[in-house]
Amino acid sequence: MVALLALDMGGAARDLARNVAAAVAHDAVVLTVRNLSTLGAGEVAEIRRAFEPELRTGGATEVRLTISENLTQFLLVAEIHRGGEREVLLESWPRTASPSRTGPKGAAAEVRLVKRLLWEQAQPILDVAVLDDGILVLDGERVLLAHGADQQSVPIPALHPWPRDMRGRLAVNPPTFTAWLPGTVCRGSVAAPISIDCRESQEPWPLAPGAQAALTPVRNYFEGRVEIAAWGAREVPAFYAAAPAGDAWIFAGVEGRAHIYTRDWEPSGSIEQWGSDVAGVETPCGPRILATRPASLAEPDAIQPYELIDGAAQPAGAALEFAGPITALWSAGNSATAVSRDLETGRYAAFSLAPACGS
Amino acid sequence: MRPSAWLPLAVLSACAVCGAATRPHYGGTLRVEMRAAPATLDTATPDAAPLASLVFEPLVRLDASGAPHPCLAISWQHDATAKRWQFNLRPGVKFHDGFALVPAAVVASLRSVLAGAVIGAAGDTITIRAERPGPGLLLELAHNGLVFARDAEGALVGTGPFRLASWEPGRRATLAASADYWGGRAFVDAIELQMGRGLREQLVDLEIGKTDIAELGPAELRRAAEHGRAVWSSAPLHLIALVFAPGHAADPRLREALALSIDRAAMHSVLLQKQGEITAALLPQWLSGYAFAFPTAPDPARARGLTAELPASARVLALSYDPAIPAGRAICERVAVNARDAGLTVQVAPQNAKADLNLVEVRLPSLNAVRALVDIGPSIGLEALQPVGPTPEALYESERRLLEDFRAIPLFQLPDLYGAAGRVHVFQPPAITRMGDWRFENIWLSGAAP
Repeated sequence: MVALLALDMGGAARDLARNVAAAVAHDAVVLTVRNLSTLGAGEVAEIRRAFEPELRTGGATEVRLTISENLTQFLLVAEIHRGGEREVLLESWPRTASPSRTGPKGAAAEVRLVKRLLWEQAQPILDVAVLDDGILVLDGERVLLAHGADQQSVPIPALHPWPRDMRGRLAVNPPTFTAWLPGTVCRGSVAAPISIDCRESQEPWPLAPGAQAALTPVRNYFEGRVEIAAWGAREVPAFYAAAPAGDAWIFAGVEGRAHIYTRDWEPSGSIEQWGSDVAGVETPCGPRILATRPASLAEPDAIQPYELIDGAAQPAGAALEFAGPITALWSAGNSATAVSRDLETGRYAAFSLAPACGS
Repeated sequence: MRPSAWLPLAVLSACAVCGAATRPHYGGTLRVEMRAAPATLDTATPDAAPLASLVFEPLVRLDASGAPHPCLAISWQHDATAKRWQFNLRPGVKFHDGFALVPAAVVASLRSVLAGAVIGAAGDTITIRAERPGPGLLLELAHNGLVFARDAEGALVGTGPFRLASWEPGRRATLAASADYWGGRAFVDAIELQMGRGLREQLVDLEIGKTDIAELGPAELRRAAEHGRAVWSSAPLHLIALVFAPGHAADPRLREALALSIDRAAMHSVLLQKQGEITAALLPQWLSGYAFAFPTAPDPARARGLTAELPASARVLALSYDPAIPAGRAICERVAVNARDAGLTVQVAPQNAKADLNLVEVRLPSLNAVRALVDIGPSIGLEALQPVGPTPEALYESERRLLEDFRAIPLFQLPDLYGAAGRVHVFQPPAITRMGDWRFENIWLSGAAP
């Protein structure tokens, strides 16, 4: 058993080739190879090469070699057909981790939004903050500080179970930073070595400059009191995200519609065809709202700029396509931060979205 | 025949909910119907297995490619022989009655599952000395190693995303979302489950909006998809086979003639809508890796030759089937047609206790191929296997010996199939795992109010 576990593909192929040669008594054979496994063309060619020195070709005996796999092993199965007889020989070797797949990234879009990749990783990114000489990355397990190739991270203690649709917000005022997570707030320093101190808290999160609200514990939405600097505080129905839009605010409600509120907190309309993430950005040509589309989490999403004109949201530029669903979208003042999960690779990428007005 | 051949259907299913909106909603009650009618929600009750996976959890889980991932254990390691294993428990996990998950509960749960293994606890770690070396232990734990405890009333409690709120044996059950589930509260508030519903009843209920998730038979799959329902599939898990009753059809030529007469491909294409896979093996291809090496093609000429050697009185067989087997009657009638072409007379009747052979359905009992083969044989009346080596080579040889006398004639490996209503969305697929477990904590309902 131990010896077999130590066997590799080359060893298995050579062993089986020798066994097949012995079984056919070194008669000439017709060898066919098929691949039912996840091994690639290179490995298949290598296996075939292992058989060539052992077998003479051109005879009547048929050797059908199948490359297969199960949950833990790769298999080589040789079916030998000679006359009316059939014999099956097998060899196997353990599977290792699947090679990582790489796929196409989101195509560059000819839109007013300029997309710049900030960070990429396997764990879901909740938010990022760009520093003068690096980047701070928040996920559900840690805060990571990267200066080029130099990386430091501090774990976030699990003070209680996180919601399944995890969300988080990050704000930096060097050398300090604050990370908001569901029911938790963490404060720390980016001065080396990076440090963090977390506690359970219902402290409100910054939605956009000058606005904050509390995320409902163990859920994925905001509920209750919203505080907007110039407007005061008010109770609003549950929402996923909020964005300033000039003299109005837009709240992406949990029931699937985005609601427009005016300064007197009166709802002045709703928008049906947006997704659940919105963010406001200041541009040289005025405030714009960035909104995801109502895509499912199994398909690529896009972010489109809008402008609120006469109480209605009008497209203000082409949609920027992503390679997967948008899992986070936050306002960063003059720009926005978007996180997308690549449907090909499964990895998460954080982008800065800078509006290039008029270009 | 590729190990991942079940995936295209899963991908198709994912697209069936495309166009739905946005971040997942909390709230609502998910209505589910199922064919099985288990009397108890017991980790050892095969009928209750998908349901139990909502309430109870294992130390490790497998992803779609079969790779193990942490569940109640956050890490594990083994010695050089892969026989001694150590699992580190996830901190902060609680049973539904509020008590913390402790190593002693894990040890007690696993003792009934890992016969022959030596299980112990030290601090927050579980140590297991497996009966056999190799990765089979992880597979065994992932499928059968559900962890449970007993509450003050003696009822089983788990650590999963749902807790049992009410239970009417064999009829209906209600599960409530566990608010402090370590993996994050489920999106739906509750699951209402109706048990013992026939496949046709379930399809009708799905179509009229009376249920959100219904099991589908292969014949109902196309109809459900045409009506815009999302369709989910597990890997092939159900062996459909003909098995001769002990003491019947004693002449091996008769059994071989019947086996060689059967045209599985035609049945698979027409009766089973190409779901699952054709097989002449007991274990599915994705689990063994060698199922294709058991020939499935009919050989009518040889079948007729064998029949001709039999006396006329020995050319008649009574075939029985369980009406609950999807397409069971149609498969048997087709077997009879094929047999007639080989000179045999097969008389088909449901639930005939005196039949010479039966059409049976066996759910794959384990992800560990060795244990699965050891368990399947006796469950369909074949002789018990001698200890089986863990290598595919040894396993193939054992399976070949089990089948060489044609007392069992495997026909198909079928998946679990489900249809989902339009308001059902999946946050992180799959909602149905490769092994058919329900991951309904990932489901959310459009229109639900938090």
